[in-house]
Amino acid sequence: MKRDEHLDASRTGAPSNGVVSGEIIDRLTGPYADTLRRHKAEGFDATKHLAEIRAEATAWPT
Amino acid sequence: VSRRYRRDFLLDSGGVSALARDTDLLDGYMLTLEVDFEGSIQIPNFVMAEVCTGDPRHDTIVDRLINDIRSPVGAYAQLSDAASNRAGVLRTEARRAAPSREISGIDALLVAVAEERSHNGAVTILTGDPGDIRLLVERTRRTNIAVQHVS
Repeated sequence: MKRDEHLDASRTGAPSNGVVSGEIIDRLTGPYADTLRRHKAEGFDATKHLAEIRAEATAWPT
Repeated sequence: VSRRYRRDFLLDSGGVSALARDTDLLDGYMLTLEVDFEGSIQIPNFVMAEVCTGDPRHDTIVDRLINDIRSPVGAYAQLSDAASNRAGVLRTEARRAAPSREISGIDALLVAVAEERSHNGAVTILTGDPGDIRLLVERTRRTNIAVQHVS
């Protein structure tokens, strides 16, 4: 399996190119969904950091 | 079948400080756990010995972080008896490998918890000071523990 396929968020429909829109946060169902929605309502925007984390993750061993 | 694999994030005191100060960075890690991995963000309970100060100006943002990362598995990673013993071995081996370095017991405990956790999935340690953590991780010979500097 290629690395890009690991990073494809098939469950949420998020694209694998590192772009996650705020709308996707509204559809999350995992353990941090409520916190992320609360932070989104407070005006935080994590999408820039997510792209950075995804770039870092390519070096993380599995 | 999910194509996501398990990865847990463990924080040392520098990781706690970084994520407590930068909510966007915390959100980024929570978001990657929602869309890229299965797992959790946790603070090993003994790390709090280096974090809590009793000063509300500092501890309030730490309390907020702990509340934010609270998930079904809890905000704290618990230390097992086996990991506490293993930490002593890892610390001794790290000191032999680098006699000039003062390896902290807390760092050794953290890496022992990560080693234990790595048998069930990959682990990323989020740390403000990756040098000693990397030295300890190398002693585990585990290939699925990453060390990520956060600041």
